[in-house]
Amino acid sequence: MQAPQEARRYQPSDVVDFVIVGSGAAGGVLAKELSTRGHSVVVLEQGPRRTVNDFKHDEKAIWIDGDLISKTPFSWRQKETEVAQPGAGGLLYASGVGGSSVHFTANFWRLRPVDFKEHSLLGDIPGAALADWPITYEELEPYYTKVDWEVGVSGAPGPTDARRSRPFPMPPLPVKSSGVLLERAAAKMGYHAQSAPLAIASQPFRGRPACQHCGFCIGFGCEYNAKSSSLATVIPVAEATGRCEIRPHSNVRAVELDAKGRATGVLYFDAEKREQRQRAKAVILAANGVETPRLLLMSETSRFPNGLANSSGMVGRHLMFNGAGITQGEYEHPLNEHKSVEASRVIFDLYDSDPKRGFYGGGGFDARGGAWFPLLASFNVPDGMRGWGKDWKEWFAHAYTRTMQVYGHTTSLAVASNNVTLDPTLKDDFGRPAARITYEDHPDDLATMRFFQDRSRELQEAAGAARIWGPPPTVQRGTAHLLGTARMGNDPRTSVIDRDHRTHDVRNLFLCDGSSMVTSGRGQPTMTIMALAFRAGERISKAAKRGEI
Amino acid sequence: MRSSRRDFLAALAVTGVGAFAPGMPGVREALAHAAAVRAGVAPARFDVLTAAEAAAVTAVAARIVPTTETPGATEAGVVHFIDYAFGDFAKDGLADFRAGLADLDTRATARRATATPFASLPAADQDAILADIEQTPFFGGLRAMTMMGMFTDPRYGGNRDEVGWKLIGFENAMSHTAPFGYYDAEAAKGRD
Ligand SMILES: Cc1cc2nc3c(=O)[nH]c(=O)nc-3n(C[C@H](O)[C@H](O)[C@H](O)COP(=O)(O)OP(=O)(O)OC[C@H]3O[C@@H](n4cnc5c(N)ncnc54)[C@H](O)[C@@H]3O)c2cc1C
Repeated sequence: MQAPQEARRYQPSDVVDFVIVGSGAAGGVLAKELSTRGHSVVVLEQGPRRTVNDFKHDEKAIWIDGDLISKTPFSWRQKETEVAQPGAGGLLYASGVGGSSVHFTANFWRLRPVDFKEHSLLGDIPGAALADWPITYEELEPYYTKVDWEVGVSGAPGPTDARRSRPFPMPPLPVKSSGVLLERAAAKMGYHAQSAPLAIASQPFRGRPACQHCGFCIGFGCEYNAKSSSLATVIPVAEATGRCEIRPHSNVRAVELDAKGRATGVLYFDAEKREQRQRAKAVILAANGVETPRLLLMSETSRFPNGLANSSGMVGRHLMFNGAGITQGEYEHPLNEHKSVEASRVIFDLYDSDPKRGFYGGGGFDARGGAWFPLLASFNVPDGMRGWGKDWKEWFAHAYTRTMQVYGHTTSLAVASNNVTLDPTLKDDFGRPAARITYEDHPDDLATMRFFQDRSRELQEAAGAARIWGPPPTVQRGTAHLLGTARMGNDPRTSVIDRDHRTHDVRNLFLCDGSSMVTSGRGQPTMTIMALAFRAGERISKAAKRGEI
Repeated sequence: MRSSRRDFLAALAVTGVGAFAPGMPGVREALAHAAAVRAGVAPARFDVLTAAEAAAVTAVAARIVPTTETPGATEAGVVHFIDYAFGDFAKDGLADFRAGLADLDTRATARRATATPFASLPAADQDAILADIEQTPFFGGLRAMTMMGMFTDPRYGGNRDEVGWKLIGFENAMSHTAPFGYYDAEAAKGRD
């Protein structure tokens, strides 16, 4: 989708109402909410603007070359005492207008009431900084509903779902063979399999076509615009107001403040790598759970030696990923999981943390292909099988169409020593310090992953799998979920932003993206990130109109 | 090894693509190459590999995905993909790769006691040598490259006539319609 002809252009010297950094899941929604409420908005996006014509079925371009993903360098270590190694892990997010909502899988789960108050329910967990959210499910529910209807979600309610104020706007996508097998297994095990909620149109929706089941969702941009990315949904609405400019190839390096400690705009590098300054009455960072804290830490000044908005010392801390407990199963007949969306059925019976298990944690399952493209699938060799030669070839030729994953998506605890800091030596192309990731799953998170893998194996058995395999979960070395690094809270000593996404330290600086999340949920954070952005947009606009920014 | 999204990049490092592809490649060049391939100028010669190297690569790839009653790496033209790769995204790994190929010939010679290229050994001897090195980054990288030559889009020079996709039953279509597989088809019958 090209920017419409009439889309507004501003000069960097124009003092716009809001400059938003990042046009992803949150940034796109914020742009729409603020511009439709009458504000002037510039969105700075480091990546390019792509159209549906740029997206294609090309496994190599996406999964080997990483065509859509950010190439910004980063370093990785497990413990704060180690020296981080460049690129030693997979930090996976998309760079471009629409951000990671363009290439995500579009599994789209709401959080449940319990996610917002687990600390009250369960108390302290040793080694973790589990906290309640300053808002409840009931407060966020209207905004989840806005996401359902304005962004576009397909699904059907399940028996244990939280209250929803309106039904899904679209029926579920058709059930796949993996979904039928999961239903069968759930029935045997006393669980309930329900339709997977997806940010994918199951029927024509608000000018977009329905999903054509081509199967190229995970990691890919949708060639039909059926995936409800912010690029396909809210960004065109923002531009149609004539008040919002989306400016690609604009890589922000710092938030600028005046002598009174108010944000005056941001400094960024344009497409020619020249430094520019976009002035604004207020600044919103929506650059994701790694880039938002990195920007704050890079915005240090003599007044803020520990980074901007960091009087609490919490910026960058409590990085959460979500865990996984997975098995692969091979079945007698073809499933053809390379067709259609990843997952069509989910199980939420083990969602809540259960003290009887002896550790904190919960999750949900789906049955899916598992990025089952031919090349990626060829790397997935059953335990004990030699992955080459005649036997492997014959097995793969038979099994490719006959396998599925049962994927348990699990909680990550907030741990202070899991964090984003600035690498002391590694620099990016602009000479800025790279993000340094420190991450080691909490022991309860690893226990939860193992527990979910065991249940995953049982589900495969109950579904009749002829062969089941999958390596045991270990400390994670990569992620696509970047959460918790500028958490929301009422107490300025233990959180970075307040319940309205305003930083405790700078009155006209707001943060809204994966970094805002206080707990990780059970996977699929993006529905919540978008709902938070709808809520934040409304509240920030109201504050602006009351003269309270 | 599983291919979940969160572990895939890490998995690539383990399988050895990382060994050959330290930097991210220029996709534009890849697409230009693709266009040339599409236009019918399939590479008749090799841009990077010498004839001897191409013979060695062809031989290894043919042990990784042998030709049986069904096509294998040879029919897919895997060697052409690998030739393209070492001129493109795997450029920086070429020296290591050449060292690995030389080592194969050394091992072949050791088995025969006279100078023998790996490619001219009988299949059983080739398999024995590859089994000895199957844990090395060189083999991991070559396996990964072979898979790419079998299963990625034919625009990159491998997977000729989509033989890799046909082998495993992958249908590269712009749309599919339900039912997609056996179990959902059965379930639909039951429901109707
Ligand atoms: C392969 C894959 C599959 C996924 N599947 C799912 C799924 O099924 N369900 C789910 O809920 N989630 C999924 N996710 C995660 C989901 O994509 C993210 O949770 C979500 O997009 C995060 O939203 P965000 O607004 O925090 O950041 P993003 O969407 O990442 O947006 C941040 C934007 O900011 C830009 N930016 C960063 N730094 C700067 C800077 N300095 N200057 C200018 N711009 C900048 C980035 O380029 C990007 O466009 C998946 C992710 C991946 C990679």
